[in-house]
Amino acid sequence: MFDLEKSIRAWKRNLHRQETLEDGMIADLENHLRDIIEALKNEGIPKEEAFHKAVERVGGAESLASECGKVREYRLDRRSPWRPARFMPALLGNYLKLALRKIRRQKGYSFINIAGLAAGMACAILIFLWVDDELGFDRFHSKADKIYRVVTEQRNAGAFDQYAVTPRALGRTLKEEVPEIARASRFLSQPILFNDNGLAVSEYGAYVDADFLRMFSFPFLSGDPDSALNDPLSVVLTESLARKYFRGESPIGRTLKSMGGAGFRVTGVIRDVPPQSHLRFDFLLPFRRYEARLPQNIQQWGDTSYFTYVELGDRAASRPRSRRVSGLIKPTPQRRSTVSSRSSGSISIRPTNSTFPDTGISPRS
Amino acid sequence: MISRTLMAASTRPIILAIVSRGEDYGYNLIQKVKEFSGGNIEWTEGMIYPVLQRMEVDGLISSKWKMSADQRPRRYFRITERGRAELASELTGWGSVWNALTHFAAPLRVEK
Repeated sequence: MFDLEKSIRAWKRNLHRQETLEDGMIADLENHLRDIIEALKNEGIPKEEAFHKAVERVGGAESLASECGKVREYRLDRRSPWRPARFMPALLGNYLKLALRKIRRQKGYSFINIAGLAAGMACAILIFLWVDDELGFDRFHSKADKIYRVVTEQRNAGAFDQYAVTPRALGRTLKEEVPEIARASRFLSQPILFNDNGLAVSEYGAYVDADFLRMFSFPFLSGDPDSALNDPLSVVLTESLARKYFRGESPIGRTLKSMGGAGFRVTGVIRDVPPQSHLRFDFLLPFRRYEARLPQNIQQWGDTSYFTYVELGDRAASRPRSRRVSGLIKPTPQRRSTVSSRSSGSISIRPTNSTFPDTGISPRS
Repeated sequence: MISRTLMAASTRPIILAIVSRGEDYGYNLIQKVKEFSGGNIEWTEGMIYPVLQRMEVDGLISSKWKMSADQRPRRYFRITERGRAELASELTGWGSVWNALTHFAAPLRVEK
């Protein structure tokens, strides 16, 4: 026996499955269906046949739903015009109240939700802080965008390696032979044993060329950056090292002794090196002093244990991300033996502040 | 039978024309169209509701739920000012089309 109401309910269930058909639309369609059935019954058609005819005339659920979907896409928030807005400023207090009630009622889920959000936020903040810290390295130098670090590149059996260490003679040669390069300095960090009233104290410092202090802006508390390292016997200390050895007295002109007996005359005091610098040292010594101690027979080009930094001058047209410089210096046999005889080795410059985040340049050869 | 494209183009103006005479609900709209087109215009009847919804979103008509005479809640549509303006411009447009068509296709008897 055909049950009309049951059939209509089944038909409506099918409409409710379509998410783009809301209740108002379905009520409209049901009215329409009933109107057709009524009209057909008045014509004397049995109700089962009338129902099937009416369903056919109204149309399939899928096609109706897709038409309604097109209408709804018309609004940016996909809200039907007769539905209440999702956010009403006047109900702000109620929203909070509802949220609190829900949190209280569903403690387990709320815990998972909030803990997840907190963990996610913590990770995001940590990543942001880390990236911000890494990108901030060596930005404080006023010439940061002009200072480049020289790297040696090697291609060996398909592997591409980059090293931050360069030949001893490279810096000076680049400065002399490449017009775009205005300044160059080597950097060799080494611990030295100082003599503190008979006590041996190991301090960590670096040998640098006189240009170093003209390129990098490590702020001077006393002394002159232009001339501080001109004298081979001079030393520039950081604030905390000066305080450690001279205890509040002015260190300028005073002498610091090493355990080897050599003396260093303090010509400058700089602020402590900020944590966001990849150059770490507590004192600076003139590179000439280091070179003077080397045996004469060591080749200038074969001795590769030094960082080299260069500063582009005003004649450099652009600030490249990186640039190969080994082709720019004259290829004497001596140079070729170090720069290019090693299977397709070459020398490039990289912006100093791209040192961090780790660019894969290994500090040792 | 008229073509699908002509039907698609004429649906909205016809609905506007009908509701411009007074508010009405979906089933009645369909019946009126059938009656006055001599059965030549036949819609998939459910499809009128998305069209009405769209016209409401566009501001051409407005709707209200009311109890009908047979004690069933129905959504009645009525024309808005914007709908009237739209209807006027549609009529001008269709008039021009009709003039051009009959001018060149004449003599064609038009049943009044």
